[in-house]
Amino acid sequence: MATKTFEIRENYVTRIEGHANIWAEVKDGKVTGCRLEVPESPRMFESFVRGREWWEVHWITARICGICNHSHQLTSLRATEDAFKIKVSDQTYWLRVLIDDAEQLESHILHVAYLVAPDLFKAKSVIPLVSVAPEVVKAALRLKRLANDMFLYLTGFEVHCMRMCVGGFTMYPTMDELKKLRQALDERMQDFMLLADTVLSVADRLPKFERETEYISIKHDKEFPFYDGKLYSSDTKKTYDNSEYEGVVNEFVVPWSTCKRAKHQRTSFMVGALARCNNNSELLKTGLAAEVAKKFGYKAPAINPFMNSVCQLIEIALCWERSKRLLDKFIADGIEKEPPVKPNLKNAGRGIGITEAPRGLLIHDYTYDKSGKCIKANCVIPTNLNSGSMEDDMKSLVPKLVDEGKSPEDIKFILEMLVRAYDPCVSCSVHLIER
Amino acid sequence: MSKPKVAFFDFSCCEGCQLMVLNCEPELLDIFGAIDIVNFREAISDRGEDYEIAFIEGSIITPHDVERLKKIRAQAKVLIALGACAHTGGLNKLRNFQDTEEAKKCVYGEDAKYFDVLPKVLSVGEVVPVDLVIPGCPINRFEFLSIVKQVLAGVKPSLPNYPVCVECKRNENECLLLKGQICLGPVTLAGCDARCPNSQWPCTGCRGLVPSPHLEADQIVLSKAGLTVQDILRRYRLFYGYSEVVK
Repeated sequence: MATKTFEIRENYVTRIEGHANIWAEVKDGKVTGCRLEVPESPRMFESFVRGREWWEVHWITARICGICNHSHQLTSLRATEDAFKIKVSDQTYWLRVLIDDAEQLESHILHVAYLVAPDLFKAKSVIPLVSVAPEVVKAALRLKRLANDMFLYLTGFEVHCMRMCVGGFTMYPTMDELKKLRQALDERMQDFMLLADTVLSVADRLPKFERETEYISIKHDKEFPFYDGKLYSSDTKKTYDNSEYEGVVNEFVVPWSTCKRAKHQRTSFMVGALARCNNNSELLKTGLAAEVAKKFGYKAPAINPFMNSVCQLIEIALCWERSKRLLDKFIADGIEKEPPVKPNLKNAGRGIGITEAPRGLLIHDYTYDKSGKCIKANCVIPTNLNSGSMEDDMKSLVPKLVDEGKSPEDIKFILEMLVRAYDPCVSCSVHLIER
Repeated sequence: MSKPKVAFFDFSCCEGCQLMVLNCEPELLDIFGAIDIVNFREAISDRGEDYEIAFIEGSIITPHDVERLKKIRAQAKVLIALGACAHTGGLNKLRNFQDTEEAKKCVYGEDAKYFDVLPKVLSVGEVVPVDLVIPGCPINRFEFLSIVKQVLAGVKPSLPNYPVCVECKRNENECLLLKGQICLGPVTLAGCDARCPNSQWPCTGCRGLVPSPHLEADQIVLSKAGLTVQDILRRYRLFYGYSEVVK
């Protein structure tokens, strides 16, 4: 049949952060090629951060990505503090946990409501949804504002904030600001439930596709981890020290692709919300997160990559409740205006920071000299780590869709949905290669 | 009256300035109502090519970027550089002070041969004529909204012609220079409401130099704080990489 031979090409997939192309070729019903290409221009942060001073490196590397800028700052600060053997106070630790929760909230709401939901409603963007479901769109806008207000009060700004610094903070929120945020979390709760229920009403439109793979994230035994935890693989069921990360992520270049890949136990592995929930599922057994998981029928380990958006909703619930708890604690105890811990330059050496950005594992690795200048940097970015998994999913999904008799247009649409499900953030382009 | 057709295009950057546009939550529905967004890859799937106003985000890094930008310029009646990367080349210009081949090797090792990058990172204005700029890393969303309103009303917007210090003083901040911190507020273009000094973080100059900056005076102040010429250059290069002063 003539329709069984076709080519799918979508340059610059929309509603993702950064640039990615998808390509697939089907001849006589057989998939003969399948690729994810990344034509993002190289910006070379790891090169120009060399020679910069310890106090400004996080200010520079945050600019790798506007969407996960708080994650980059947090990871960068952890790496620099590790390099100078700085231990931050408990207050700084928990404020950062709170800020990282806000980062997940903001990014996940943006992703689920603006970037994924339009697909489920067969709309081209959030704009047509304004006339279809104005209350939901307005609720999503209010939710995103809430997360942005958390940034404004806790870090000074929504994108590329200034108050987080090596050793602590330059400035702290006022009691009044903390109370405002705490109140907003109660008031906006119904907005979140409306968003979750709206997604739930169309969740059966998420493609049914399963592919078992290795899930890598950080793991923690008490607090669901974004800011702090140990590197963990679902295949080996082992945790790894930070210093072992290179042996876990194994970045490599494939000549037919345009972007660095990573592999550990298989041809690729997956990072992100799904990996985190699968690897830390024992921390999702109570509270709002458990409620949301139950609503959507999430049970660990889930192996449908489209469930990543559902896991983001679970994580929103989790961050929501933890933020309330941490704000209550700060309101009860008060915030002490601690000055940041200063580094002893004599301690300079290599430092590694590993956290979870909204879209997955994020690693910064710096070496400093005794004058406090950075002499070497390596950043490992979740979208690079996921690009092999996205392509492996495509290779497994396209033959299935062809067998089901789907049209080339439908296949293209589902592949775009797949790429969006991973919530790629291609601007995080430190490693990305243009051919 | 039909709504003006507007497009957003991203080149090499962190896309944080587009995010700042989306961060105008209270005003976003009004923006969607006043203009017809025909191209905004980060947020919508339509891709119209019949726009009148084009916002350009990001620096120009590859030969392909140059061609793409020229096509956009040929279509757009009004072309607006959105944010520091488009306006001045931003922080990406740090690479211009390094040997390009060596920089590529540093990041990509033996795979560096796959690249095709321009010898120097360029701002949008270094490739095509720019009608308006919205400075900052990232942009100030209130300034963005004000400029959009003025463009829609047919008024030519103007930027402040004074330094960040004016806004910082107005906000009654304690001067960071007097506290021994290296702040570039005295020579940097205002319009950000001094948001970094407001948070006790020194100005790093992301909006570019104020018109007729008193650079000699600034360098005397900075050298009094113990900075060598090399130190001062390193500070200036973070965001003034476009200017003669850092050469």
